[in-house]
Amino acid sequence: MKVKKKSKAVTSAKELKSEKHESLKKFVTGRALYIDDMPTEAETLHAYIGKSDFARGTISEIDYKDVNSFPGVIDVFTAKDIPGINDISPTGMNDEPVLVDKEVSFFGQPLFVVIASTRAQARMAASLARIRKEEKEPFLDVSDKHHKDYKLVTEPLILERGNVTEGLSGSKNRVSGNMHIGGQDHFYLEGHIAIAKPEESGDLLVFSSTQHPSEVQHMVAKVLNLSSNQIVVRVKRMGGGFGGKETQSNLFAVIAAISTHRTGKTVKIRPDRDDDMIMTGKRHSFFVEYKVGFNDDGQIKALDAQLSAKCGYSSDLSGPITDRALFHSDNCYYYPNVRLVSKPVKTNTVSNTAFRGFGGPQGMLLAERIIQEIAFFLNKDTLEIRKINLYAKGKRSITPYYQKVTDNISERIIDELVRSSDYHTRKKEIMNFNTGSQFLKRGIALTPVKFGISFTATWFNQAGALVHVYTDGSILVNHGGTEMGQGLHTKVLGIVSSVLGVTLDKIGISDTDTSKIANTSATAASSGSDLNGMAAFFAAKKIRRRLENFISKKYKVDKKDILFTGNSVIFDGQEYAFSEIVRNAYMARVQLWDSGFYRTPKIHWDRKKGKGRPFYYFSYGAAVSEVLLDVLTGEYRVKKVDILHDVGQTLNPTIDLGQIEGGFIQGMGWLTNEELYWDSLGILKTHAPSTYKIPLASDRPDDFNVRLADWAKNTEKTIKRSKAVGEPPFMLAISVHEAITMAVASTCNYKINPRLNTPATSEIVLESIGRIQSENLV
Amino acid sequence: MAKACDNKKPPEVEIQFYLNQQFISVSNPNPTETLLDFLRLNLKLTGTKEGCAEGDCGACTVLIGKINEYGELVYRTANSCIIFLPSLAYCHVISVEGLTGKSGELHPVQEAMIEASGAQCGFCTPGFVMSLYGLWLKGSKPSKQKILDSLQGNLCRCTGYGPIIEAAFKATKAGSISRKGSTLQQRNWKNKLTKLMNGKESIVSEIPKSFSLPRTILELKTILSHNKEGTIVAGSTDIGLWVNKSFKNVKPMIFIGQIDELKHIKIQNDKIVVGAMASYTDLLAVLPRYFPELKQYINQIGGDQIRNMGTIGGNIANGSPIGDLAPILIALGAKMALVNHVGSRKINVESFFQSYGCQDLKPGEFIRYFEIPLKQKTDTKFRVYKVAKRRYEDITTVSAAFYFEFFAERQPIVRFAFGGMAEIPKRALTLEKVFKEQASSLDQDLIISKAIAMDFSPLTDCRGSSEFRLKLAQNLFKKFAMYVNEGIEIDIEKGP
Repeated sequence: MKVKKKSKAVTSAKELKSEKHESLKKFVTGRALYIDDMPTEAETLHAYIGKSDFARGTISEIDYKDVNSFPGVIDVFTAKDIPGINDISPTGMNDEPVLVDKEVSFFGQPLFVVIASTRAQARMAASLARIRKEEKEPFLDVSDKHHKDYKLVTEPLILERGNVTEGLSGSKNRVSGNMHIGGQDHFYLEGHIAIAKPEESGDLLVFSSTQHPSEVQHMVAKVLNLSSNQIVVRVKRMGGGFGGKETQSNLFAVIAAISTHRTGKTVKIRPDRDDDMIMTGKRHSFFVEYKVGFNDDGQIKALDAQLSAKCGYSSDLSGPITDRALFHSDNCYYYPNVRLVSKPVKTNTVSNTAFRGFGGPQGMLLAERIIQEIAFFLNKDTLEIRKINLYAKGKRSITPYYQKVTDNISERIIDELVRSSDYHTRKKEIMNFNTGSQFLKRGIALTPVKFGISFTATWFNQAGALVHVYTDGSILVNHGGTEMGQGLHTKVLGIVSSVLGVTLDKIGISDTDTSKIANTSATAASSGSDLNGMAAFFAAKKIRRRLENFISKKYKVDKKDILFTGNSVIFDGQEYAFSEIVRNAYMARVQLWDSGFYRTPKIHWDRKKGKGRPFYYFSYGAAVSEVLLDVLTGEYRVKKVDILHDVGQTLNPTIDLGQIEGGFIQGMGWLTNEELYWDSLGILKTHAPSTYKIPLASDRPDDFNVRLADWAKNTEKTIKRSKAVGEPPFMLAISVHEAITMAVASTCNYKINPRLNTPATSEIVLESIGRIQSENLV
Repeated sequence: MAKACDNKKPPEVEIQFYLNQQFISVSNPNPTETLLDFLRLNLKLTGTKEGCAEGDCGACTVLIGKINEYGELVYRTANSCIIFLPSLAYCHVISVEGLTGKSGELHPVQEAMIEASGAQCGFCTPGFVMSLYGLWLKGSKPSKQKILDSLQGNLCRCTGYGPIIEAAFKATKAGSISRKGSTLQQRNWKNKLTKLMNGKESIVSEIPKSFSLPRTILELKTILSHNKEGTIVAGSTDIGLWVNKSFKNVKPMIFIGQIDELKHIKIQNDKIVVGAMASYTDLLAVLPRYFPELKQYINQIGGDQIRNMGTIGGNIANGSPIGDLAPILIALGAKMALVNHVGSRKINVESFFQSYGCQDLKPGEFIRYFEIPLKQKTDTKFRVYKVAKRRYEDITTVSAAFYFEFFAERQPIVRFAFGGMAEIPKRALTLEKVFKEQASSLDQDLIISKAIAMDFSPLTDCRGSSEFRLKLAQNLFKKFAMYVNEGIEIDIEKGP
């Protein structure tokens, strides 16, 4: 029966005919080119970064003797050799030097660069510097109350609505608590890499594995004291990004560029996996403290919470990330009185950065923790507490940031999923099982997701695209978004294909290239297809209009009666090849290429006031997860997962299902096995797949059913009424965390909330079991 | 350098193998050059990817065909990032480029991966394709468990694995006809490799005096007697990391992969004799017949590639405190034979581990084989457990092997061995004593935890705290005790 259900979900996706990822054949044959696969000149040089081996302190001297004399070494440079500005802070805070020569702020901080004939030589030589230093005690723990002198990396955000103090004091019941939320390494399979090639008069062509080519362009110009028009950045594809290549590519790209500037040669830099993990930022870990007031049926009256984020040594994107954490601390729930405060704390660790969800997942965990607190307090099912607190119409539709939730479908999603997953029967059966089983426990939970779509930095919500129709009828598309596996190019191709009625085999897509589309936004915030898809749609539409005008004039037909389909143009009962029409149009001097520009309407945000409409719309979803727990070892298996997710009218069901499944498993990794471990000296000990464990095929739930809420439609005028899909499904995995919580709680008959921190490793689980059992005895 | 040099050109050393359809001969190779670098940098075959350079992500997976000690050509997956060139002598290496037919026709596993949309960013894909190809070669219709086992050494960060598992089902159901064709091909390859190997002398590289490839135990003894500081390379799953990650100088290297005598697994009366070069995969084919509980445990060690490469001898010789197989061998009372050019000796595996990083291995000595005694009685109680942060393909936090044989007429045999609890794999002697005395105290838990605390004071590291390890050791024993006393087994794999 299980199998049947699964195949049903798969068929339903197939029924909606969809195009597969455009590069699949290249992937399976090993012919897809990543930057490290690109042929380069024989005399290409290789750069490698020499990094700090301590977390905080002052360098008194670096002895480069052994570095310089190592075979193959051509050049060594340090901070003082940077021709332009020694800063790659993405938000203009001037707090992120490329290289430091004095004050070290984290373990793995770049100190100098070695350029050598081979990568092996550069890498080996970079390990040979002798660093004399005075170490200081690093700041590591944002929950440590003893350190009063923690600095913040950026301005905190306060979201406040109603009267929290009165709301809390007027509540019948109050609970307060805290939660440690772990960070996460991106573990893109392709590590960071950049190649810089010298062009005429000092100009540079840079290949970078980046989600943000325009930023790389600007950073390279800045550190070299050049203007942006002298730098071209190109990206064909990345082997995964997940936010880890939004700002973190800057470092490697500028080092390749400086190296090329110094040597006049093509220079490649590719850090080893361990160095990549040590030197680049991760998802922020958080320490969340909360106080919630609620009445006897579980309805929330007031919430007061502070979200402290471990930001690392610089601001990077910590400002907008902690903002987004606050924006999602409500998830699907209405808080009548609320105060949410962010605390972006500076620590002596690598500067944390964007990662799928961008703070949203941490905020949402808080919301779900609040629900659990109430449920345990009142001895009710969490689902009941969830439902009673869902956003509704009227007054109960206002978020803590004053945006109204007008497209709410969370209740319908939850209700459908409760039915299709048979939640209530299973829950009853599981509770029965647990009563009779001492060492194996089961847990089940349903958690919903509401995720705001748009960059909260409003100006990023713009995109451009170019569509070229050539005289043979073939088409080349270019847009500002980057492809990292998410299928953006496939979706954009699909859009152009449907506008011009041309099949995909006739449409190509070229590298993302800063000399084609200027001032692009990062491919991030799930916005890739919303923005670039719409821009490409506009560009293609312009060409189609011109073709229609041309046909209507030349053949005397009504524009409405012209059909573009299957590489043909049909009108007046006649079918013409698209290429023929195009050729004729060209001869008549019709412009056959055009650009498209899109900016998201309606959004605005006033950070100082904490008011506005930062999001164009919301994406919804829900998941039911079931786990089986071994009480003796703390090990567990995710047995069954049912997901119902909203992508509006899907642009491509295969791609969307892939994003949902992949996002869920990645989220599950974040909440279960993926533990980042720094020792007391601030040395990261989990910097390779041997010590940092992302989910394996064996960790996939035994029974995994994903369905699209195919009735859902974006109420806003997005491209084909679709919705963004990159980030929201990540947070569906919170259901796994709660299912584990429930299995743990069953060891004391659900009397105590285990308050499970994340990641819920076997160790954390076993510790929680021990804790609640001893609390239960008291 | 002003060194008097005689004009005699030192003899060239060649490492010869086949790559896809191509014959490769490398003269005087740098013995620490990896197959992955050779493919990507020398041959510009960039389909095989580097994801971690430590054998943990599988992006560099290739197939290696080798004529085994029984004269059969066997293809197994391997991590090319930690295979050194000399290990490839007389092998047939297949990289992803070799899978596609001459006129570009795709292999069934490639077709299936496309059909199932088994790739998103595509970077891990060639590695998955090769692992699936390895599975496909084994025969049709594998169980879901077999599929998952074969994918344990490959990481994907995009798909969530569903479509890849689907592709595995699709590919292994299809293509039985073409597989027949491939049997013919294999016979062809077997002949080629045999021809390549026949009449060849053992390879001993003189310049730089850096590596050798003995073919017999006798040769190994002689080489070791001259190169006492040499590093013996078996599966290179550990030495690969010494080179790639720690920049350790491991020369001269003595590659023992060509010594068939070291690979045999034989049943002799009341014991199993396992050659030091037997891989985990080889062990999986034999040991579970006598010790069924080892199947799950060995499957939890490494991924498929590592199990194909890693050897029992290498595992024990490197003296890891966790020592995947060590607790098992200790609990089973296994012995090991140590040999050098003057003689041999037999010791208990238990006494091989002396202190952290220090093993009872004299210079010039090597491990020849292990002797694992079979259970004397059918009602012998033997259980093994491995707990890690991730259930599969992860370094152990705590492992435990419990062996209990009861005799009416004499003292029972009790051996409880743990990994990850001390600086070496070690027996819990106090716990054994308590168990033997059948302590029927009111507070069993307390006695167990006290005994374990007397036996061990484990470290805190990234795999777990000291307290967690103590608790795990205690609870794993509890599991064993429940199995012995009540016949109850707690296992989330088997489910409720």
